Amino acid sequence: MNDKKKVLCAMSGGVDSSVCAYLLKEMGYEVIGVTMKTWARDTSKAERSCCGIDDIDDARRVAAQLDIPYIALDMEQVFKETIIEDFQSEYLKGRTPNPCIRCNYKLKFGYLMDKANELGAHYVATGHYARIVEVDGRKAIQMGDDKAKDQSYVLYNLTQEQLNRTLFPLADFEKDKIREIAMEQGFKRVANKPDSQEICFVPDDYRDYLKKSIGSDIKKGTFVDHNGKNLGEHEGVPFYTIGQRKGLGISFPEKTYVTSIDSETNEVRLGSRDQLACTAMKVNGFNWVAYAPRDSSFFAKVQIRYNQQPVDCTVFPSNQNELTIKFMEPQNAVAPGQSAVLFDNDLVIGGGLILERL
Amino acid sequence: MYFDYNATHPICNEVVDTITDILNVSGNPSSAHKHGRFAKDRIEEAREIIADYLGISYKELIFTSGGTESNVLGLLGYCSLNLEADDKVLYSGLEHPSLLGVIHQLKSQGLNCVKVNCNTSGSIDMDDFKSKLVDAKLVTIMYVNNETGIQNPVGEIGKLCAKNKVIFHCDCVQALSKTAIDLSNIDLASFSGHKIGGLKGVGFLFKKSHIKLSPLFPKSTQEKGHRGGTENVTGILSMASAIKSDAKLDYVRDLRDYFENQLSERIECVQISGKSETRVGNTSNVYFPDCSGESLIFSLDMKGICVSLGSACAAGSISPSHVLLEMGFSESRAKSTVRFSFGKYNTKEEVDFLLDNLDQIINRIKK
Repeated sequence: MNDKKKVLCAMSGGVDSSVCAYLLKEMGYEVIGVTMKTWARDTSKAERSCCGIDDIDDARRVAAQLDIPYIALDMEQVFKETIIEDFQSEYLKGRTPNPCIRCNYKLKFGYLMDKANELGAHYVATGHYARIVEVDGRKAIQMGDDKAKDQSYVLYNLTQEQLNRTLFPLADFEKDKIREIAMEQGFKRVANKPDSQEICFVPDDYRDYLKKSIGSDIKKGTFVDHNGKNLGEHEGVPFYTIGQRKGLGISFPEKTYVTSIDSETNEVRLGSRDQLACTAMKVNGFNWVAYAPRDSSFFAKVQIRYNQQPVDCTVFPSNQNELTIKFMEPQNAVAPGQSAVLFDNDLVIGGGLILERL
Repeated sequence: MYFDYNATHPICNEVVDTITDILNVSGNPSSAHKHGRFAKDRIEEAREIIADYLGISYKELIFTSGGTESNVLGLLGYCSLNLEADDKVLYSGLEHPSLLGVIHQLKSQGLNCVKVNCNTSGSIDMDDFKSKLVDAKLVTIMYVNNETGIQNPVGEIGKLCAKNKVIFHCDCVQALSKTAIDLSNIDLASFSGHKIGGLKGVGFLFKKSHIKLSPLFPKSTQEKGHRGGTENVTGILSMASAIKSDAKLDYVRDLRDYFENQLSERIECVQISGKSETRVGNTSNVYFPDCSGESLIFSLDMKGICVSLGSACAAGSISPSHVLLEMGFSESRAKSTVRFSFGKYNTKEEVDFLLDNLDQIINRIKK
């Protein structure tokens, strides 16, 4: 039987999760700090993204300052198999993956939940800026108070069972306040750490990373226009994303964008802004959060990229996991592989992966 | 509750008194005035105490910052002065990472470093050793393994080295105060202060007088030209004090054996690595099938019980023990293995508390 006083707190060594551990302790929980050691890190990069060796040291020190048990879990293998390999194969398929979302759901709330069971802890907590609320008997994710830092978009994959066992202690805070608390508590090294920005295992440009890691699987192909006319050679489908205009290596008289990518024919299609615009998309792997699964259509707002404003849409469920979404206004950045998250005001209805543009 | 003596030994009670006393010694041992002379006198006295304990000459001791520096100075210091490219160096895969690090560097400098196999029970394969000893210039093999407590046949290795005129370096860090150490056929030997209840940051290298080493710091003036930097007076005295302190070897061995017997009775399927070999009396390397060692030590940590998965590693993280892999065990076994290392301040009540908690935790984890 798991203990409802015990919580496993994911600590990256950053300011958010450090203060998260502190707040949990203040709330009276028995806090267990864990860091996911996810890959053999390049320490030179550790300053800027989560969970490098320096970050593990920082997390461990915060745990010592808070006098809580702490462990760095060796997750290199599971991270490689679950996150890195998926990232590579998605790009090879011409899709645009979001590995951080996958890491949240597979590792932070999947693997860590299993660890929590092993350690007899009921809850897993993270330093995400989002809130868990109850709506009509279901657990739902609500945007956090700091709208600029809101992370509800990346959390749509949590199941009801996981949400019942998840705590987001930062929901009621703004980022500045979190840094202030970190200073007050003497977490000097983490208090002013910059926010992590990029993907933790990709040093700079994801294209360079793919060249180094799976370069031999990447084949050059052709750019075509919307009539199928050959426009020249491209470097390989993983190097392009829908909506991309720069770095095509060819100049055009008019603004030209990547409008679709076909990994089977190895073609990257280019077109005008009008041709980029998309009116509908199919989404699969849908996880229902605030709403119980529905079979009839409904209005909602949909967010199709991180840091993007949700836009109005109509949702047509095909079955429990798959649905078609029609935009009120055509959208440009509809990239298969990215996440589409539905909102009802500030509540996450659910989300899934963009399967195709319609 | 502490069962991780091989990672570090709690500071001995006598050492606390020594340190308190030495805080009044403010001089630099190299200073010409009376405070300097007094400090110098105390470290030379410590040198004699340690030398007497080991049955060697005080002239054969070089104080260092610990086991790692002793390993590096002994091995690298010897090789850079005395060996050339293609010279053969024998080592075992069971060695401490600090030593394997030196081997890595020696290889990159063109030395012919050859690994001696170990057998599955965890000690050196002597047939393999004998066959590879031909033409070797240097051998480095540890006295006692830090993870399993297994003692290598150092006496026999030393004799063979002497007979073949091969220099023998031995990492004795885990042997000191755990077993009687015979240095008669050893040329270079590394020791650490904190593994026996002294302070951290101090150790020494035993070096037979006729052996010449190149110092790690250029133009070294301390320790007869073998080291630079003002002597760690407090550390050195703490080490001498710890060496004099009674290690209560029989008492510790009884505790360890009690633990192992009880464990085998109470928990199904546990296996103790190296049990058939000659081991020091304080170490127990236990395989818990189907249990994540990581979760096990962490669950114990939450109960205030300190043990290790293997050797302590950077950032408190855990990777499968290279020692167990070297012994031929699978990665999965290595990840399900926990090291318990006992010491003189442990009590039977503590061991019972440990056993009770292990019982409970393993039941939960296995679910």
